[in-house]
Amino acid sequence: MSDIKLYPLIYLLTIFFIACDTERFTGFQHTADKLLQTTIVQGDVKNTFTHEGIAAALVQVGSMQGITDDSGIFKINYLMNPDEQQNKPLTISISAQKFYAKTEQKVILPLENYFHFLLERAAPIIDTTVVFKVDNFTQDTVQKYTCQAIVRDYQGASTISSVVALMQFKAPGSKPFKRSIYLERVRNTSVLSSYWQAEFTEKTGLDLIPRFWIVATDNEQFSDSLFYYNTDITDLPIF
Amino acid sequence: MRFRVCIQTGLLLLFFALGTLSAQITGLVFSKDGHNAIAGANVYLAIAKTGTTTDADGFFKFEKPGKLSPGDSLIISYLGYKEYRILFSRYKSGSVIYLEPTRYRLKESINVFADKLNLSNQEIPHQKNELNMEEIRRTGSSEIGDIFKKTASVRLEGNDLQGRHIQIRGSDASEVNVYLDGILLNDLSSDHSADLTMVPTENLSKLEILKGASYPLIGQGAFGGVLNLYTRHSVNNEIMLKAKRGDFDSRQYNGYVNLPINKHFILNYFGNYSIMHPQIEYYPGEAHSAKSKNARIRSSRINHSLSLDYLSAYGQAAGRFFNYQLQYEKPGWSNDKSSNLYGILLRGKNNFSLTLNRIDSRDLISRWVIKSTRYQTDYQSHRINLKLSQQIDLGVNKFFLVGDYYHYELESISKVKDLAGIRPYYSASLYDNRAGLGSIYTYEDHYKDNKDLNWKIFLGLRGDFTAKGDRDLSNAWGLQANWRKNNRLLSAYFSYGKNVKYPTLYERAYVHDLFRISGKDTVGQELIPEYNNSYETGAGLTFQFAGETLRSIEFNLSLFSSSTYNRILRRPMGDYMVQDQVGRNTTNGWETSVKVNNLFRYFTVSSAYTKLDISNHLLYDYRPEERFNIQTDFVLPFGFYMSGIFFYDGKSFAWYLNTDDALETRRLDPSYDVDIYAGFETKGFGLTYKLQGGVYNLLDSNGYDYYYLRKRMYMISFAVNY
Repeated sequence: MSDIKLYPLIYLLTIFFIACDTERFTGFQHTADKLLQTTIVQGDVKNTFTHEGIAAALVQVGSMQGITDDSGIFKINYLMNPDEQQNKPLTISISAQKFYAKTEQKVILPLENYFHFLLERAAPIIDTTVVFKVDNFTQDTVQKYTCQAIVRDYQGASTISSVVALMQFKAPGSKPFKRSIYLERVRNTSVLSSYWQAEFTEKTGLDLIPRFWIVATDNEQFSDSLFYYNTDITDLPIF
Repeated sequence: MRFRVCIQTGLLLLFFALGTLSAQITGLVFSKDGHNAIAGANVYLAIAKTGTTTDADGFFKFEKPGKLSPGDSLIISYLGYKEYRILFSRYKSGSVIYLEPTRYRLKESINVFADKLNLSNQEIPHQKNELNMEEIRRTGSSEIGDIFKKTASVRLEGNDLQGRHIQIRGSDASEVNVYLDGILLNDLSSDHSADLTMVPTENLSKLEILKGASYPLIGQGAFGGVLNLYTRHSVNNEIMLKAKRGDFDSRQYNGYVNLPINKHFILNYFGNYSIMHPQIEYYPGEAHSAKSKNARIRSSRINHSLSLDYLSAYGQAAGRFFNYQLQYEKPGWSNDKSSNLYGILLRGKNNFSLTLNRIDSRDLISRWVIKSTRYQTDYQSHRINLKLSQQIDLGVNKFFLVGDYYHYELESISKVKDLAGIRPYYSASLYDNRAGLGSIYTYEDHYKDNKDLNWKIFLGLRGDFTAKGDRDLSNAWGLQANWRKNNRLLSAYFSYGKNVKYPTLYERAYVHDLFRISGKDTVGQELIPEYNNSYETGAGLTFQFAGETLRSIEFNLSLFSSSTYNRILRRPMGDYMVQDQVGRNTTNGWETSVKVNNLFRYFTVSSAYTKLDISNHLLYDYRPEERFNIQTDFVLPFGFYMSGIFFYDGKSFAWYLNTDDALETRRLDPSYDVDIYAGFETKGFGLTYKLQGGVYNLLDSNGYDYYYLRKRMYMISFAVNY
């Protein structure tokens, strides 16, 4: 290779490198922007039927979790794995009390992602309840009461399986005691709504305390409860 | 009874074979230095003027003339070797003849210079495997992993998108240096692993696999080994066109032209276009589990290779250009990759060589959910490499010196393109420089007056320097002994060496994510190099036979141990990605292979077994503990061949850290499968026609476990050569 004269060639190459940018060809640059580690997965969770935000819904994004605020909004920092960087859909699960849980597959992008989720109410809704004395009841030893409730269910009024009121009675100078009153379906007023009622008696002298819990349960064991509070028993019948 | 009948039949066949050989002159011709068969050597009788040439195995056979002068000599000659001459009356048919290399004085051959200056031939002794062009062609597969199935300790992982990466003896792909015509390929990706998709199998003429961790001249950072890929080159006019069709709607078209312009210049081009619909996703997290289906993926590849060689009495100058493009598309995602490699190689007759090369790689990824908002990541890397080597020959003492310089650049920018414009949200611009000096001294001698027993000592030293301030000195040494007796050759070697591997640019850049530091493994808040110590010993035994019932038997055995320190582990922790540098692993193992050539003339049977014991499956996951294969080739002289290979991978393990930072184990069950392929070649109108067909992974026992590397695939191809 003596004819090709390599040594001048090497010399020229060296000069070339030096002339370009000495620092670049002899030094190093290792600092970069902080690698974007996480993306933001945020969104809102609303009731399918009312479009109101659902508070305290649990949002699970991969291995990360978050809870919605009062408006039904959540925000979670999430570290994307290499599969998700290649558009593998990420599983997002949302669950809230009295709602059907939901799992959706979403492709997530590197910076931020906003998703809307609608949850379907599963539990019945107790619209209202009343309790009143039956005045024309003639026996002296017992007092007769009537408890009424209007209960809805988005899966249909016929799916409501039970409505129970947990009443409290009290004799003067003694501790109150509890008694479960099972309401019976009077009729369905629409596809979604129905009337429920129970008539019950208690010994005269035992007063009904006008504060009680009423619980409605459906076929899937979803339930709704309502706390009734009044100063005295002066309600009027609702149906 | 049946056994006795078999023995009797075998003896009858043997006597018959010997009887037919009685009027023939046979023998085998080998190179004395490399112990390789010499193909195409002239073998003739000086006075009778009759003779032949050796075949690919160095075998020759010709009819003994009826009238023979008593003073006639048998002459064997081949370019680059001393002529062998013996009085014919003294020649014993069936002998093995070793030709001694001479100094180079050729104008015609490229390979003579290349072989002489091939640094891998000068390296510290380790187990080495070669696959020649004929073996590669016969496999017929475009999947380079199919070629490695019959090689001990070598396996391939990957796919079109992430690339095909080689592992040697349970190493990582980033721990195998891959050279393409002498140019290091590793720096095309950010993790320092080489993508073998850069060169289609149809453009390969030879594969050279050097196993082990200490190669001072060519193996800096190669804790697993070195792979040398050689592309097709020739001094003859050649044109080839090939079309291939297979499963997954795969189509492939390639062409090759080799054009000697005059006695000094040769122009060579190879082009390839292939397309397929993979049907599955290439999610990295699904690498060893069930794959997500997606029928809307399209993957296409284009390869170009252009070279110009200048040959003269003073040396060789060569220009190389390789281009690789990948387009991968699916709804919501596209990936355009492009890699270019430019190289200049100069090789002089004074044993000096220079390689200057540049690699540019670009990877553009676009993602979108709605088309008006696109997220783009544009990754670009560049590398410049200058390598000088010089051999100093002082008789039995030889020195090999290598100096290399590497300049790395990496730029990455991520941006959002939407209706509001373009908003970059991440950028990195990194560069680094590294230089090294490697040397090997060898001393070769033989035992007293017995030239059949020779030995060679290797002493290697390598110094590496980085711009960051790393300074490392690695030593290696080896001993090799050969004993030749009649038709037997016994070779044994031992080697020991240290090696160093520097963190990649990306790893250096994210040092601030370093999470766990242990006193001995890292210092302060900076990554330090990974180190390796390795030992290896092995032996090879070859029996040569000049008969036609059996040509040769080769047996090899290697035992090895390789310990790596400071391995970097990058892993998620909560909503952060962290780096650990506490990794230590020791891989112990052994491998053995046996090959029976030209059994009953037309059969070649080979088998290999590998046993690995990896101590840390967190750092090296899913490496089969055992591998075994057995292959039979049936090659007929009129152009038909058929091959079958059975291969088995034992169970493999992976460790991972769960969310509580506790170690858990996953296991991959053993698997096995079979490849069968056949081909037929015929000539007509001055052209050669080749029809090939095959079914790879016939039993489909792996399914998509290894993407397509082990998925059942049918293929048929037709090629025309001029």
